[in-house]
Amino acid sequence: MSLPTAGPGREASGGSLPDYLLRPAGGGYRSLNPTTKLVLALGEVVVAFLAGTWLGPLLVLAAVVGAAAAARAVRRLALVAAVALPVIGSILLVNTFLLPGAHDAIVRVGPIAPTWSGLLFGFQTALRLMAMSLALALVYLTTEIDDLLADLERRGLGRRPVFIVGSTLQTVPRTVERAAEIVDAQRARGLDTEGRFWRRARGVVPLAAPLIFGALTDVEERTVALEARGFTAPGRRTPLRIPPDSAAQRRLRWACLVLVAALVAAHLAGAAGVLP
Amino acid sequence: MTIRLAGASYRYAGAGRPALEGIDLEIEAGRVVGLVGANESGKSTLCLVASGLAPATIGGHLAGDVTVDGRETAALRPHELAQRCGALFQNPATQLSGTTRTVFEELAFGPRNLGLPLAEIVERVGWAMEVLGIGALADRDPQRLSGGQAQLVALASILALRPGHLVLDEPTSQLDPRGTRLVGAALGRLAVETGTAILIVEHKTELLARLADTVAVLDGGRLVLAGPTATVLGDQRLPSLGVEPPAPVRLGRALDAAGLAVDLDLLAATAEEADRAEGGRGDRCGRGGRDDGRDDGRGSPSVSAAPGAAPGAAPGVTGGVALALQGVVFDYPDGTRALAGIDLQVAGGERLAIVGQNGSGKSTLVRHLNGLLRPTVGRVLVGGRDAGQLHVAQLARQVALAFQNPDRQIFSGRARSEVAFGPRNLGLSGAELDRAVAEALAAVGLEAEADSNPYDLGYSRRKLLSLASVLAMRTPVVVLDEPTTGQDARGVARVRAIVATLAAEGRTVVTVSHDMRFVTETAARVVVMRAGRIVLDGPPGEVFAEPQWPLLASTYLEPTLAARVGARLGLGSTPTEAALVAALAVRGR
Repeated sequence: MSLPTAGPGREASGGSLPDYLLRPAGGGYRSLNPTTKLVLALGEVVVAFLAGTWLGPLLVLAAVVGAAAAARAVRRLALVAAVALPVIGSILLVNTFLLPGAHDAIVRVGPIAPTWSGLLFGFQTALRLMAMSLALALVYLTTEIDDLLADLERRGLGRRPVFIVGSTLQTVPRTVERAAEIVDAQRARGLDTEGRFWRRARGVVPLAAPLIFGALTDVEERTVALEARGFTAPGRRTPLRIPPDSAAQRRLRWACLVLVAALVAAHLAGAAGVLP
Repeated sequence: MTIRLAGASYRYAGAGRPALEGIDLEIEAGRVVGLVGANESGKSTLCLVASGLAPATIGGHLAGDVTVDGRETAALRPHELAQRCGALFQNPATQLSGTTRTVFEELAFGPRNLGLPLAEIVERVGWAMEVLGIGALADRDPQRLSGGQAQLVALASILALRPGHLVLDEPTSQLDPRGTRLVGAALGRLAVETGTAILIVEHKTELLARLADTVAVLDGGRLVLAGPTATVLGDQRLPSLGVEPPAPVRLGRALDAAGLAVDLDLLAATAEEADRAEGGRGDRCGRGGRDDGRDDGRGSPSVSAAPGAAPGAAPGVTGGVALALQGVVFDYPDGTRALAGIDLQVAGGERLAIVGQNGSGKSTLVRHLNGLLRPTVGRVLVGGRDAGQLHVAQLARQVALAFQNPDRQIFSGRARSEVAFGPRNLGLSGAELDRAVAEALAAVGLEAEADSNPYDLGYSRRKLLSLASVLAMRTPVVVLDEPTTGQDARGVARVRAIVATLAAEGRTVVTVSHDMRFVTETAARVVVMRAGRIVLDGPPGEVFAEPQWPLLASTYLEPTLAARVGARLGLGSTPTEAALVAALAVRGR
């Protein structure tokens, strides 16, 4: 028995990528160039925070939901919104009850006095944060990380920053999986995560240590493995595929960047506040 | 084309004493050098030094000469070294880039780093997949593979770089027997046909006996034995150095010690016959296997044995049903069917081993025993009670499970408190808790490390510590998932002794393992799984009997050499060396 005929040193025979790497983009927002999506998200974040108190965030939310519908990502986006709800709720509560300088009490029960202006400010802040979170989440939900990395690298971002971006984005789901495995290991040793709150809180320590230790060990071992795979070689990496781009998208990106610059300038000049 | 170490000594940064001292070793083009030794004898460190990654990448101090193709490794940049000398380390999870979506892209990661033309990258990836028979994995997510599959992908990723030399640190530790053979055969062909020089660290000396031209033994950071493979692996000192001799040598000695005539030619011929029978290549990675031994069960052949009820009472069985799975089907949330109808009863005090190829559903099954997974269909009974009605914490009083990966479990800053965590959760305290902890640490040989930080221990000792953590819970049922992975001969012997002790105490022991010798010597009953189903169930003498060999092969398992010799001599089923010796002794009378 011998090795496959393509042994070391054989000339490349003009192979092509398998079909599953050349998947259809999906159309609409989903098929936009990853950098276009990033720039649009940047623009949306700036609009949400600088273009008026209500108009900006409401416009962004409408745009994001519309794009999510076009990309068939509404359900997953709703999940992100649900995850953000506790934070939103806490912002509302803290501002309603504790906004400094607010005196227009809704009701007064002893020392506790929620205020109208606190509620309003909390609602505005929550709306902005939700618009920002969903705008960024939509990019994450509708973009292949590999495509984003390939595009960033094509635009001259070095391989180290690209790798950091890529591994960070991949870290989220990996960490969730690892945490679940660690919880299982501690539950198997009698840790009660199905009991009272203080029992569950006690379980955080056994969860955190292996998670941190595992991550540190992984980084060390992965660094060695990357070196062994030529990661520090000079020159540009070969892209497997280049995400599509177009003149229209280039114009859109520039228009978005100009808008961002204009809004920032207007904000600095105190003119953005005239918007509702 | 050689890798050469001359008087090489290496000390890790901050370490008081060197990890390697005065190493002289040469690996010539087309030659395979096996490296063996006890755990923490310096094997992985030698791999780091030989591949040039130490000290260039990880720091530390190197004295002496280390050259690749006549050039000092210190003078080569990491990417230049990567093209000359491919290095693969133990944990496949950290050998993968973690940024790719498919196995194909993972294999392309290295060649892309080198800036090779796309056509050459595609051709290299295809070649590497073909060499290791993993073409069916090409579009799979690398993070969703079983341990064995990930190990093959990690090795293929290095092969795709087409280095002139390979330095491999336990590349088969998580592979089933047939996977191990496949990797051995592929490496042998690489050496012969392409002139690749290979340094391979292995605990599996049977693999080295087939593959290596020479073998070197490390002890305490020094090379204490080196020479032709047959000479070194036949050396009487090997066991005292923490290395298990290969099966033919071991068997020959067992027969010799029993005063039986040893036909060395017969042993050698039987071992070669096994090579021929099992060494076939082919695409071994089916579509089903996925993480944690999950398997989709699609396309699985029909059950060919009558599994389920416990076979005749085995020695030590105390009676009563400790565990029962009734019609258990389990589907993962993504729809993957991992268990496709399991009926199994385990009696109290029974020693049961579950075996099967990578991704056959073994780990999924044992996670049902303590409630970490709940059946999609069917039910699990633990001590006669429906596990579905009990919390995992309640089930932990009945069933303790030692996981494959100790680093997912260990959390404490001291070994003693790590071991105390489980029994304290179960309500032990004071002197009783101290006694349980001390006994468990003594059982795994870590009593002297009671106050050590677990993270200062090597992987094999961390694995023993996680085993002690489970033993200290003193549960009626103990489940061990791959307890011998990464253990040297002493560690395996210790685990074997622990299982025997547990059985003598009347506790039920369930082990999952790819080590057929360990299985046949420790289990009274063996369950063979394939694609989420039980296809064989019985005592080792029945499961490893000659008529079952084709079925074993279908799930990438192999009978032991003792079983093959027994069959060849017409002695019936002799799954263990002791059984073979006994059968020969009877015939001799």
